[in-house]
Amino acid sequence: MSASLSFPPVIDSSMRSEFVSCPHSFFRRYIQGLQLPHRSVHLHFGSCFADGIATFRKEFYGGSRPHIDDALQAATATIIRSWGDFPEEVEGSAKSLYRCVGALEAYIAQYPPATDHVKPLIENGTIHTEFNFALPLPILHPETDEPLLYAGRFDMLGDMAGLKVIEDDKTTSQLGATWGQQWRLRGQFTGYAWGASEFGHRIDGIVVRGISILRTQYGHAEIIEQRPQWMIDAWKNQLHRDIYRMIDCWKVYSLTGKPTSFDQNLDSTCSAYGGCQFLDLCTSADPDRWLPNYDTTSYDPLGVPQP
Amino acid sequence: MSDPLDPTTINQRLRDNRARVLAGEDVAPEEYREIIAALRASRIAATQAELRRPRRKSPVIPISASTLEDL
Repeated sequence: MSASLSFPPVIDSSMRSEFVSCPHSFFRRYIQGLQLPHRSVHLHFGSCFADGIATFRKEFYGGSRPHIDDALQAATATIIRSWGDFPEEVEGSAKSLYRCVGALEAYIAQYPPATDHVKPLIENGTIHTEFNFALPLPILHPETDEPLLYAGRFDMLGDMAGLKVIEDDKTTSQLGATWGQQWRLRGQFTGYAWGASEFGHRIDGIVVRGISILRTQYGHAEIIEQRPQWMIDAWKNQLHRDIYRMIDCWKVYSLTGKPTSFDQNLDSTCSAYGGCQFLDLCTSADPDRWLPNYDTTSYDPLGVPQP
Repeated sequence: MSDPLDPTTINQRLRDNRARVLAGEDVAPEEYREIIAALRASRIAATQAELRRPRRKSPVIPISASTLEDL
């Protein structure tokens, strides 16, 4: 198996986050491409919701469907297509196809376009929803010697009372008192600010909107974060150091063929969020015996919305 | 005739539409008009129900003379 493995050519915030939490988990997910067969309902729901919002904004602000209900209908069609053959409901979770369409309707009611203080930036006829970027880093791929790329994708480059902002929507099970705190240092957003600035968009702020999916209601919260240049510089330095550590692990792995060349956390990360999906591998003397339980799927940072 | 506000009915309509999409049928966005209207009505009804829900009164804490002195 190791003969066919290679170091990823593109890094994104999920990969960096996984690596700093547990390098071994990074190896299993992003180098071996392992994943349990059932996709997380949370990720799937968030991805479908993001697709729906993007369609709504394109249809509404693009002028082809300037009436809210028309744009909502087009967005509903998008959500149903994106939901695909994923189970309509998952036991124990409020996140269903029905609640996804309902969440979109509730979101538009909370932030009606006529009075929404954040609107998509429209430049030269381009509506800046679903802003994607992939930028070269000053670090070479350990096998190809090509520059590694850093990729990101956020929901909207927006205008807020004349300020240029990044807007990103987060679906969640609950909006607790600390929901807004978790974004203060979140590298995902600092990376977005860096990516936007590399395309000439100097960012004044980051608007994070949370929508909670409860059994009978939807909750809303909005916070505004800032990413001054010093934070972006610090993030960039940290990113580079983390990638050099990834490459160091990879070099050891290339010599030894041992997956544990990528260090294991062996602590709370293993049990966080209901348990790491690779727990069966790490708790076995012979992890290879468990590999048939996993799907092997390549991760595409340029096509997968960030959780 | 089924209640247009019934979440089960809306859910079933969504399921039916998804089955058609999965079968390769082209479902026009206009076909979602009633679903959107029903979801909106359902959300408003849930909000109204929440507003009408009796609130628990703040507890009255008896304050003794000695407590007042402490204050």
